[in-house]
Amino acid sequence: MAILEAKNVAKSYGGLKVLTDVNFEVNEGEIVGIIGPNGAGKTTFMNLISRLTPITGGVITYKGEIINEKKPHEIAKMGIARTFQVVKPFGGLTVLENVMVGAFYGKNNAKSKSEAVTIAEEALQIVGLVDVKDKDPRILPLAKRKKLEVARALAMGPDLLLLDEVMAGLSTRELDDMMAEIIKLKQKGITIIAIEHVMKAIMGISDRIVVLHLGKKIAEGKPELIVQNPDVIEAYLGSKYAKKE
Amino acid sequence: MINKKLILFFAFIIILILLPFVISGYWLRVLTQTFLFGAIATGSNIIIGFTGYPAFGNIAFFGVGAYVTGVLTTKYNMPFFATLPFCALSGIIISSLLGIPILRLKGHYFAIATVGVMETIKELVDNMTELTGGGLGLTLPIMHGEPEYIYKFFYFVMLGVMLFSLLILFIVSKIKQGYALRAIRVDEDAASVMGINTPLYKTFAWAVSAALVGITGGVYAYWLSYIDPHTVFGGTYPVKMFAMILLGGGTTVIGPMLGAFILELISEIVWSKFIAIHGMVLGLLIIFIILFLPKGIFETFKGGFSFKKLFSNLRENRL
Repeated sequence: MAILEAKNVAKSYGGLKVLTDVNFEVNEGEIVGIIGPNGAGKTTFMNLISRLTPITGGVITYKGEIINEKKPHEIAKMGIARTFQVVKPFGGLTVLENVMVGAFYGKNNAKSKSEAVTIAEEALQIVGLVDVKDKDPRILPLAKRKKLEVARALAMGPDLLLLDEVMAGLSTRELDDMMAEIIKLKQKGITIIAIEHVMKAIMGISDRIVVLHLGKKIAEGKPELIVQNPDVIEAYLGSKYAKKE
Repeated sequence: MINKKLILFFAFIIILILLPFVISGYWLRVLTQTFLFGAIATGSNIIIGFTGYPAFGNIAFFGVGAYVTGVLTTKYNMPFFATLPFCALSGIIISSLLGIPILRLKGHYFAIATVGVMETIKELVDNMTELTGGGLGLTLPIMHGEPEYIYKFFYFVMLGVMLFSLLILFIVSKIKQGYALRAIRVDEDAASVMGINTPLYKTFAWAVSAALVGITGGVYAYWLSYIDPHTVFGGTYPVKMFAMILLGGGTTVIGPMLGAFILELISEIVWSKFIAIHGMVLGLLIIFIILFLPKGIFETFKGGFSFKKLFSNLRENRL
């Protein structure tokens, strides 16, 4: 069953079309990867789902409800959480307190501080950050700050998790670690949409891949088929290589 | 560590409570003025430091509070203490109504808009001559009693207002709304997608700040027993308030109050000795704080004083 549906979704800034007629569905419990060269409109699409950017055309439906006119905080309460490409922990709050914000205000809606602490510690346990829970997040290395982003989103109690390049900039070992964690989240029943440039990662975790190029969907399917798709190869490497295939 | 800090804080408060019995009228007045700034800086820090919205014109609510007390005591013969809830209420109402459009702005734009609010209210008060006395100002009923008693009375009332503001800031820092405000300060988009109704919380922060600064204005009016629009809406108040928050550190609970103590006492010493260069010293001090202590004196020297920390801030400022 589809948890999220995008129908003819379009976004333009004045005369500049960033997304045109994007259609796809995300089924409950699957991991959908969104890939595409820089400027393809991936993050814009994520901003449309989380309602940080107003939609220009088309309809986005979440759990059967049109969310075009919802506010970002209403989207969060409905069970959609996201991470950001540029990691920005809430300075002045400890790692645990950062995650508690998610527990207080997300779908989990913790009523007391002790409840928020329990939820936050659970989320930190999942991503393996319990040992640094009392630290200032600004001093953490990038990999841990990315995990903190995931923990903050998890503490919200999401049904749909949007991951915006959580694996960019990680070492091979950290990458394997993060991939294993994302698969763990899927096993917990969370539906995931992940934007990624790291092909090894996105191919390894996704059930299905959607490819955007210049604001249009050019391909969709299983990872092993996507890598052979001539349109995708052309978008990434140019027509010369696509023809060779 | 927390206990040590608490003990130091309470020792400081006890000293402040005992001081009026050993110091002269002049120093009582200086300290009352310091508490006034401590209350303004602490109250304003909820919107400025915690939420990250530089409400430069927050002094507008100080003026509103002063005039609410002024008008209610002179025109309606209301007792002084009974006027203070109205000072808070008027701040809450005005900030909530103006917050809806103005809090959509960020950074410098918001700061300038709040200055606009301050100037607008000043002009309104200036022109409502029948009610406010206009540019001639408003003379409030003078409190009866020995000068010694009056000095002490306002000393303790202003100390009470400052500690009340501090208590509110402390509570805000501990409750879930406080976490939301600090999340907004760092990244408003991230805060909103985490489920925080950012317009509502920003308005809440501004309303609390406005209420506290409004109460301080009310006490100020009764203390000086004369107010005029050009003094209570502006003057050096916004600059001093900002310098105090910057010096103490806007992300801390106690910083702005201590910033007020340091700056106001330095200011008083400089003022009394070198009246001509007072403004220049204040200006240089603000530049120094911004360049060397952008996070405030307490955050910068958390692990102890060092010149290295001062200069690393300068490097971070890319100068």
